[in-house]
Amino acid sequence: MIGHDAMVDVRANDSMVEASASNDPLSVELRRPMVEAGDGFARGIAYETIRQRLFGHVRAATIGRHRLEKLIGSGGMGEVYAAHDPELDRRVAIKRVVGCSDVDADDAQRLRDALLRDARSAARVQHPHVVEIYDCGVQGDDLYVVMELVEGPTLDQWLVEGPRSWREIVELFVQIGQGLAAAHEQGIVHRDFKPSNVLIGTDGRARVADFGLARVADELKVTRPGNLTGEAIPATSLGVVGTPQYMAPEQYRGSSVGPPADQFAYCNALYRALFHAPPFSGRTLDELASNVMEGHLRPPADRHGAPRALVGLVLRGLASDPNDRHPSMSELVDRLRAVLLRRTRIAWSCGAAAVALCTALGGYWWPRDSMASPCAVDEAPWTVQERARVHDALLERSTTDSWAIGPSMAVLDQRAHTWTAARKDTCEATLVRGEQSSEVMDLRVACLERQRVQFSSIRSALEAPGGPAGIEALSLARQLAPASDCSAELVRQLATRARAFSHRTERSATPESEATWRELTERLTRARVAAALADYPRALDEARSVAELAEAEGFGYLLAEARLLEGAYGMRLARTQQQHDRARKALEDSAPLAVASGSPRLAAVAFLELAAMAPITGASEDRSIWVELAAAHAALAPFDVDLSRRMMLARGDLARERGSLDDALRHYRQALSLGEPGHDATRAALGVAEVQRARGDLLDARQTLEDLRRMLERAGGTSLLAPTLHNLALVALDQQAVEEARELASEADAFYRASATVDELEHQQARITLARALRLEGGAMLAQEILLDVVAVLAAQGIVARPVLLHALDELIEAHLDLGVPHDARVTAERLLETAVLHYPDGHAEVALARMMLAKAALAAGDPELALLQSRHAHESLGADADALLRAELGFRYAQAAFEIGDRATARQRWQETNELLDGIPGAEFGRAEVQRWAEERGLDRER
Amino acid sequence: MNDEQPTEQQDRRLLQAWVAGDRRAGEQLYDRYFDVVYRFFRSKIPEATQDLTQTTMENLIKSGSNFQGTGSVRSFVLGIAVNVLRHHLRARGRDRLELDGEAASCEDLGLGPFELVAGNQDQKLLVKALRRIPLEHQIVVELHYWEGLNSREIGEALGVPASTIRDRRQRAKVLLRQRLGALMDGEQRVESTLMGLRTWAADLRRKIRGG
Repeated sequence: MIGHDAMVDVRANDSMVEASASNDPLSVELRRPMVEAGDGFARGIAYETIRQRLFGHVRAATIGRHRLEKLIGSGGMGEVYAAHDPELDRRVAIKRVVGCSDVDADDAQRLRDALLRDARSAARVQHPHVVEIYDCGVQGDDLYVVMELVEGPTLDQWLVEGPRSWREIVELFVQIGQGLAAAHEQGIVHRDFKPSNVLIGTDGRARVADFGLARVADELKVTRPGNLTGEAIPATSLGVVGTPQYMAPEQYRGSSVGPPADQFAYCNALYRALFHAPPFSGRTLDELASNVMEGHLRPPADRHGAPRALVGLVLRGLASDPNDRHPSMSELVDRLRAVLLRRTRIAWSCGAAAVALCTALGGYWWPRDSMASPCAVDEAPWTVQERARVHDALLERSTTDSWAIGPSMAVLDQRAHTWTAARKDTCEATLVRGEQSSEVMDLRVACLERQRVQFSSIRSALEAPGGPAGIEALSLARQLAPASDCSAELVRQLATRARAFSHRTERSATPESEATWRELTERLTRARVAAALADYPRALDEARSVAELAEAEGFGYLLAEARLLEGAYGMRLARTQQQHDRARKALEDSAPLAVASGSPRLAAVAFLELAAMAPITGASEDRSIWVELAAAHAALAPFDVDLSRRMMLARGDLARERGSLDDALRHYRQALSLGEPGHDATRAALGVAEVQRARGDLLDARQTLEDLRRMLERAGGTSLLAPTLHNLALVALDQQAVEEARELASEADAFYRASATVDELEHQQARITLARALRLEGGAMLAQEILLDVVAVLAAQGIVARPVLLHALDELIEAHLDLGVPHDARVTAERLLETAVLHYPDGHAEVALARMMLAKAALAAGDPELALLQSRHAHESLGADADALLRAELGFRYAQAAFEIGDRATARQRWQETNELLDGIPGAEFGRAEVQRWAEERGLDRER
Repeated sequence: MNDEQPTEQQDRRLLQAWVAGDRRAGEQLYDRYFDVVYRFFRSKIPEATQDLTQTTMENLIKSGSNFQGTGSVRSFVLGIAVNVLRHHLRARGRDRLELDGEAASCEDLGLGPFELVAGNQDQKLLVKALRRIPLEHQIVVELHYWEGLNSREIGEALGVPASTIRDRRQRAKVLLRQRLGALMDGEQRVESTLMGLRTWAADLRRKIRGG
């Protein structure tokens, strides 16, 4: 084994560290050698093992007769290695407990004896759910324990790997509980039970590890840093051993610890697994300790579908007084099993006969062995085979956004899973628990049935050849309404409203109307699929005709949905004001219809769509109203992650538009924090970068975008790369890195072209940026060519494209001017003004900007009268709160025009005004110098 | 600095000899670079340090003949390590992509269930903080301060221009200081430290999905 010296060889050669770093305390800190004290052993093994593989020497590290292969884990007590036992020719795990350094030799010997005794008694527990201990011993200062090698995740890793249903969790905990119970029967207490001490083999069998090691470590006085990171804490700080999050009150008090403490830790872990929150709160260790000791147990805020009976069992295990807990682990395990069984046997369909039968029985407890039970055994909206077909189809079709397959399947699984739970809960709430009327049950069943039909039509669309893939598949899956839309509370409100207004609730009873309803639901899915594949005309036709039929049939919810889609797709296609108004009307109709048919979520989405289109019409006051209305409705709907992320994005956009950059940043960051990749998350990251850029924090903006870019590249999220690259190009332009900007913009352009379902406006914006970079690089000719094409494309898009068209015309004017064709510039500027006036009121900054551009072009074209007229008009219409740079540039054009027609006094006045404005603008030094030179050349600075 | 040149020349000779089949040259080179590579992975992917170190060494033999001689052997070796790391992350990142701004750090990528055991409390915090800044930044800081590479050499290893590395290092220091500050304040806070950011984020995700 090589010495530790090599670890200290850090080569902090001062001359290599740039001088700027030398007075920096952090760099001094960083230059210090990183000696990883406890790590030398593992390093030695790695060194020898790899050396042996590469060069064939055999000098392997051993413990006892076992040859160590590699480090597979480490924690508070020591390290775990995979090793080979040559005698029995099997692979084993070896836990090496380091320590004893502070103790004198006699004590050390005595302690080692004690702990060997403990380890040996733990080895007596032979049980399928306990990690088997083969051997233990002492080598040097260290104790080692040779155990069964389990390949697979620990319980905490298993829980994080994916959403787990309460049933899966309880099934696993029943296994774990059996392991603990078996140890208790042998008189062995674990003392440090926690999820990281449970191993789950690839066979799905859970095994509890590390029995009694907590006590062993205590006696060894292993003084690992006492910490709050989920590791066991040493005896010295609290006089106890355990892991604070899982410790029972009696452990905190330091009283004698028996099997009830294990039960407490077990229920604690079960609580966290089921309800995704710790049972006791506490920001500090002291706070946590006192909450645990005083029994301030938090009932779960959200049961996550777990039955009430289960909650009761878990809470009892967490009682402060050990005597109040379950009599034993095995008793608790039996009770958990009973919950699983009861839930499985309550079977079947909420048909009329079952209702009668169930009501006759009075509902509450369903006999275990009854043949006919009222609620179904986990009915699911799809079969295992159907699921597999969808997965295969997505896999086969994915060429670009392959990363989206996982999230798409996760959304579908989640919808299916919550649907199943809701379906069962609906039935049981009435028939088993007697909590809800049968009217509410019928409504919920109808609501869920609607969702099931929607689910299967989206499923078959995903499965069908040529269906959407990648990110389009993900956004289609996300359109499935969550099962929480059919909650008892929502349908109850709906029923009340229906009674009050004598509405018909969704779906009539006749078979004909039932068939029509199904068909329309399928057609609406077809509209969604068409939209996902960017075939908006078809999507719009379909949505529109479904809306008409749904209205005739009186299908409230379906009508609301169809109108929403009609509005959203119509908005994308609107070329004329009339088409635009029609789409807007559809959205405006959709919201109250959605409310009337019991879906505030759908209403919120409709308002969000309205908010999103507000900038197109230039009505930004409307936008904040729409956002507030969306928020109000979203608050009425059950929590839904997609909706809340969209809410945050809308708030971010609004705040940015109003110039509240801090608020915008906060909303975008919130949206980002909701995890899950996809369009919306990328939008949020782009929003963050845009705000950073708007603030002038260019390095931050670049960092945000580069992180996003790397993430997307790693994930293969090609279609989201285009906007990311475009934003990077904009940042590069701000940083005057013109060449880089040109490269990035042209890369973005290529990505947009390659993508089948491209957002045309976004694409044209990227081309405008490309043209700008080209022009700044000296390629005005090429820029002009691109811009002429962009203008043609945008003009054909009609009203939706107007704001972008204005931008394109601005750039085109600049290109004309650079090329020395001022008359073209003037013609283009007139068109710019015309377009701006058509879209915005006269005092709007866009109109002022257009006038300023026209003034600039007119000056170049030798028409100072026109320049004077336009700049004066704009100058007068702009308020003092308008953008300072715009006002400054406008003032300068005004001054130039005035000078040209011989009005030196006005020219001088405007020039001075411009100077004052420029002084207040950071980063405007360059423009300031230019303006100054202009005035000096004309002697204006010497006049008074 | 004075013995830098001869060492570099020795390294080059050793690499050439190893590629040509001289096992003893290989062993010497292995001894020289084992710690550099081991340390590189240990601070990022502790649970796979040994495997990744081995892969890097194997790749070094395979691709040693590609060594151009324009950069240093040290940055060549680290360049291979960086590629091995990228490959590893890509392989495991596919099914667990996180799109939040900080996700590119080791900590947020959910890498490594175990804590590093550093010499003292400050260093422990520092290592923790390092694991919480974006990975590319972590690499730049470590290669610069631990391995003494200059911006040009780091650029060679990562395949980006030296100017980018200088920007990144400045940025990294700012981020690192922020994280360090947060860690020092947060040491007493159960939410951020006891539970660990990793589990906290996972809890949130599950809460949302399980809804």
